[in-house]
Amino acid sequence: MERQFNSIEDLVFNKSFREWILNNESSNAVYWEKWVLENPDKKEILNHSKAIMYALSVNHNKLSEEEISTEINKILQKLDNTTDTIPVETFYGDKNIIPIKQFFLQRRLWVGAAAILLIFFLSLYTIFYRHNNKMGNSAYYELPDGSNSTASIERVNNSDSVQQVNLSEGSKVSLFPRSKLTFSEDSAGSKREVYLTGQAFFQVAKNPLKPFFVFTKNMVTKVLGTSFLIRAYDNDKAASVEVRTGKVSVYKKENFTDSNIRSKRLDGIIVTPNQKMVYDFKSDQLTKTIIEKPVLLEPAVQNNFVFDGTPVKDVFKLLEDAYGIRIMYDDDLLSSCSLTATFGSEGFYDKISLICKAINASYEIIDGNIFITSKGCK
Amino acid sequence: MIDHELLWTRFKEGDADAFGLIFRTFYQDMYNYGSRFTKNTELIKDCLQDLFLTLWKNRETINNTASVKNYLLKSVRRKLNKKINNNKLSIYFNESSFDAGFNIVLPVENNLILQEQLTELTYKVRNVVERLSKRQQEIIYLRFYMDMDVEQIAEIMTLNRQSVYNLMYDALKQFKSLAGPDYFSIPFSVFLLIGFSIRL
Repeated sequence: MERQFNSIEDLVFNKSFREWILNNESSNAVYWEKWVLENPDKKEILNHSKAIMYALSVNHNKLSEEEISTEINKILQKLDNTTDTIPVETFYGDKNIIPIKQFFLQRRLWVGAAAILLIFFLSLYTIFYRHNNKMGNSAYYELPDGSNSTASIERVNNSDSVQQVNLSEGSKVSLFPRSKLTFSEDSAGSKREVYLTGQAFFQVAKNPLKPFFVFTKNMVTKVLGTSFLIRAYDNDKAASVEVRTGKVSVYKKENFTDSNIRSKRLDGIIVTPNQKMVYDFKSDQLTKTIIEKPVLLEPAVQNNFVFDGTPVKDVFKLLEDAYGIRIMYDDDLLSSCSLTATFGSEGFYDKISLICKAINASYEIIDGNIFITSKGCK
Repeated sequence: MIDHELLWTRFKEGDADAFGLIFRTFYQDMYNYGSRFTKNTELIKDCLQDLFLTLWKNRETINNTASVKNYLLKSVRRKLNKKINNNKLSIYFNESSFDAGFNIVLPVENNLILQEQLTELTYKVRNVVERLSKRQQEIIYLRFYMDMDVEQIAEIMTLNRQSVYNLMYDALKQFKSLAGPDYFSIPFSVFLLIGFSIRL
């Protein structure tokens, strides 16, 4: 840090100097105190610089990270009506789904009867539960279009293992312990809306014309056809949506409107594979991040991570495609960086860390994307 | 360093992630600048929401910009002044409500003599700054806290370059008449002038 400071301007426009004077930033103090001692001839410049800074200091209200995030999420949710349509994927049915009729025929009659009785009582229970809910803040919600007249089915998993629930319109739900799924079932499978408390993994049958909705206590998740995990236990501090394949969009419950239900495209905040949306109850924040262990979108590409003097931009492109996670960086700065390395089964973060180490860069996760900071390569 | 122009291009292509990042990168600065025009923080936040929403809606027709920050600060200024003026009587129309809010910080030095010297100097600078017009103060604020050069300041304040120079030259003259042929006037004017790289 051997720099010359010969004028007032050199000093007052130096960030580190300003922090030292105005904020008593002690990390810079050592440097500047040394500079003062070594440059007795600059005393006048120094004093005038200080005077100018003292006289021109202003109060800026430093916003917290949370405040800024709140504002960002507000605007991202408002983009609803202006977001481009996401390309609609081709429709295909899932061959592994067992139609609901068959599901019942496979069991003995008395089991069916018991089930019907159970459903009857559960419906009664649900009706009362919902009724009470209008006063309290429990996890059940009215269908947004008010059509809660359809008899709804409730599945509660009180066991220790994951239970499979097949919906008549073709989607599969793996319901985790201590979780509850409510849905209406009619022959046409016209309603693609379910209500969840707890945790479940969804594999939604593709139907671009009819979005699938998952309502949880504070969030609404809208999908066209994809797989994802939702965690929304009543007692947790936060709820989350993790995407495995495809795209989903997530709304805060309070921002979800009828037009979001009707529209055939994904609006709200869009979450893509290996990304995760976390809803923190305390701060009332939706934050997009990357899941703890990102997985390869197609496991077969695992062997392709062999680089020999490969431009690092190409490396990032390959990783972006493999994991579906956006990696953002300065094109110009990284244009001269290249990488020679072979990756095996390292996790995503390990790979990114190794690359960053090799090109003398660092990374951070912002809004579910990887952001590379680098000074460039020589 | 984040490449702002790259972000801008991606945003114009409809990339909501890039848009979010632009928002995050500049939000604090825009908020700070906005807070020079009104103390009403909700008004500033609303204004910034509007501004970003309009940006997104018009993203395809917005020009490429040499400096994203410059463009955004200019938008803040225009939009916020419009909102503030709407709430006022028409007689104040076009009047900028800028208030740099320069507040003096008193020096703390181990050496008492030095402390006194510095305090005196600080008040001298302060005296001058207080007598400057709103526009002159705004120029100093933008130069000092937003790291803008003359060209950029002119654009933000919708003045031409020459007007910015004139305003600064005028400020300098005021200063000289106040301080007299004080030794201090020389470095301070040097600060003002070098900061704007003009030769007289």
